[in-house]
Formats: sequence, structure tokens, C-alpha cells
Amino acid sequence: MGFIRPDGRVGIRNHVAVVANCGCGSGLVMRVAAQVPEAVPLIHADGCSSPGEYVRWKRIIKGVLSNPNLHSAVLLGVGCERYDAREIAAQVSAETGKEIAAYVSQDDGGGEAVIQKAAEKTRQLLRAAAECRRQPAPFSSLIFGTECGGSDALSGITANPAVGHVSDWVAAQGGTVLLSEVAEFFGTEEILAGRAVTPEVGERIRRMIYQEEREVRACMGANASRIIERGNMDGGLTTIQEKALGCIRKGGTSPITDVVEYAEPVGTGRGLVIMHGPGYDPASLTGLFACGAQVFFFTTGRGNPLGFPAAPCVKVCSNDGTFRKVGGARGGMDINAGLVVTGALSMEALKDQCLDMLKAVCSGRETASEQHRYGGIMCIFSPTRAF
Amino acid sequence: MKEITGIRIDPADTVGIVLQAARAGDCIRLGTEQVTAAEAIPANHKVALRDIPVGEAVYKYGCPIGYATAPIKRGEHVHVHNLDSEQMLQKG
Repeated sequence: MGFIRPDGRVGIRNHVAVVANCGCGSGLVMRVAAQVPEAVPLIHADGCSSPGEYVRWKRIIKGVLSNPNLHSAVLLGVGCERYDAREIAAQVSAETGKEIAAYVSQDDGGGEAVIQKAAEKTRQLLRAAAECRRQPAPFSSLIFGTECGGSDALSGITANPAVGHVSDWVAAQGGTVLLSEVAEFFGTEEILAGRAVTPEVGERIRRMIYQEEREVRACMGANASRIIERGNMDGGLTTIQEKALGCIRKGGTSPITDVVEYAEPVGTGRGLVIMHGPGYDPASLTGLFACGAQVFFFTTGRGNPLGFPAAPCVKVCSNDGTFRKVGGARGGMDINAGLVVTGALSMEALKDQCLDMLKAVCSGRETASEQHRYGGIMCIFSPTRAF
Repeated sequence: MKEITGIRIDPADTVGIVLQAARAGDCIRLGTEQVTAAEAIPANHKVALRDIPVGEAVYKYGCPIGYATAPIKRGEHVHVHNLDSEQMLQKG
């Protein structure tokens, strides 16, 4: 059951977002959000001064606004940034049929004046959103985002295979599954390329991973195998290849149909697709959301609390000790996959639990992090620097 | 001396993982196989299932995850002090 948007895409949430067009507008967005707490603020630190990023940023902002979990949005620009908020809002409105209102601080009275205008508009959009009702919608309208953060040595044998089962199910329903975090593919090039639908896709997979390996080596030199975090190592992972062999299991076993760029619109019905993006979770989730993902399954061994403001993020904890240590649901954890190694749960039962959770979340059940409002952050991946 | 449960993921693996912390002398049971812990091994960390000489690949998930950087004996803890993979990454 979802919200069918004018362009036919299906949202599983019905948010009204207030979005910063650039970093300098973020303070204004937070003032609007303080006045209209039911709206979802999406602020970030980019939007200007990085000539290598202007084309990418436009794609990313448009992708975020287009996501069907958003009923509508207010885009707040400053006025001197490269992309005019009104232009972006008009393009997204034309493409999606949704109302994206835009204000530009320097043209619309600045400070308090633009905050009041934006807040009034946001309240109006929330009243319109409240008229929407969930309708039956097929799972083929799902773009399923997978993520891992704070992996440990159990991630690859408990949580990730269980999420992989859900990935396979979504692909079989005709949806799209997104697998990303390319630095967490090192050592799996031949496995992934071997599952590509064509040799050309396989070659793109290899080139993407090899290039990432070269960049990590250029940055870290002899320590390059330790492009894993302290928490991963404490949790029993020693090399990036060991971590990666566990990570890729969350994408399931489907053939890999394509490799898309960070935040590239991907559409439904694509099966398993790789998004070329960083392992850094805040940036990865933002990219997947901009691709169109309405829901995330996020596996963690160490208890990563990160969610995303406008999409439910189901936390699957690989480790029973961690699940209990961070307080279970109060720690933002939804599913305790660690019970599979304590013997309290079979892998089959865990897979069923994960799939049942997906169906429930898509129809409106809140995740632990939604209930506790742990939120998350819009974090744009910008590989080149600001000047 | 305690019995510790371990897991060997793939038949080709040369390391398993222990599900609880092991002390030297503990018996680690991985399915039908048994290994005596040669030293302390933290929970979820790797134990060598056979001797692995320096430079030889270490297998987990049926795939190489790195190579021994110090001689590894069966039953020993395998981690950052004796396992690395830097040479497996693409060079410039």
C-alpha cells in the first residue's frame, strides 16, 4: 500500500520536505522546520564553490526532490549559487507533476520574510498531503536500497545473507535493488562481474572497482588493505576483502543488470543494479534516495544509529551482543539477526522476518529509528574540492 | 578448558571464526571439526584451521582475503598482526 504520485511512482511515506538548495541556505531551512515540525528538513553543506560538482549537484538535488516518498517540497535557495532554486523546482514539477515551491532568500525579502513565506507554503503543502491515502500498489514499484555500516565478522553470515534474501525477492517481483559502497567490493571483482548480464557490464564493474582500489592505494599506500574502520577490526574483520565478501551478500544472487552513477535516476523493473558510490553511509544513503530508493535495509554489527530523514531505514543487527548493548529498538535496531548464531532463530525464520518487515514498512509500519526520530542527514558525495 | 562453538563458512576456508571468546587450550568445535585454541581469540575473530606459511593466501568464504605476513600455526588468532592484503589491490 503506497502513495501513487502524479507520475505513477509510488511513495511509501508521504513527507513534505523543506530542502536547502545550497549550504548557505541551511540555517534558513532549519528555521522553517522549527516552525513546521511535521515537515522534513533536508539540509546539506554543498551547492557552491566546487566547479567539478555543478552538474552532479543538479542531478542530486533533482533526484532527492523527485523521490516519491515526498508528496511535495519547498526548495529554499540563497540567490547567488550556480543553480537557481526556481529553475530546479520548475523542472522537477514538470517532470513529476508534484508541487515543488521555490523561494530565493535574496529575492524574496531575506531572513525572517522568506522564512515566513516558506513556512506558510509548507503548512499549505502539509494540508494537501493530509488528503492523500494509501492505495494498493505492486512491489514492482519498489526501489530497494541496501547499505551496511559498522560491519563486523558476523555481518556476512547473519544480517547480509538475510537482506540478500529480501533483495532476491524484490528483484523477482520486478522491482529494482540497489547495491553500492564500491570500496566495499574490493576482492569481489570476479564474483560480481561473473554475475553481470553482459560482458560489457562485467567490464564496467571491474573497471569501477579497480579504479577505486587505485584511489585508495594512492591515499593510503601500504596501509590500503585497512580501508576498514576501527570498529570493523574490533569486530573481527581484518582486510577489506574479508569485509567485502560479506557485504556483497546483501545484494542477493540476482544477475547484475547495470552500473549507474551516484544519484542517477534508476527506475523500477531493473533487477539488481550497482550504484557507483562511496562506502560512507550518510553519502551513500543520500545517493540511493536520489536514485529513487523508497526504503533501505541497513545491516550493522556495531550498532550504527544512522537513518535517513525521508525514507525508512530498517536496521538489521548482525550481532546479538550489539543488539542488546545498544538497547534493541531503543537503539534504532529493528531486527536481531545475531540470534541465528546463538541458535535462537533459524536462518529461514530470519529471512521470513526480514521480508515480513519490508512488506509492513512499505505499508506504513514505522521503523525503530522513525519511532525514536533518530533521523539522519542529507549528505552529498562530492569527490572534488571546494575553492 | 571450555568448548567453544566456531563456524567454517566454506569447505575451502583455512580460517574459521569463534562465536565466543576463546582462551588458550579451549576446544573450538566447527561442525564436525575440532581445533585447540593456541592462544586467546576474541569473539567473532578468526582462528587458523591449519598452518599457513608467510606469503600464502588465507581463505574465507572460499576466497582469498589476504596472505600471511607472519608464520601462522593451526589454532592461532588470525588478525592484523599476521594477515594483510595490500598487495592484492590494484597498483597505479
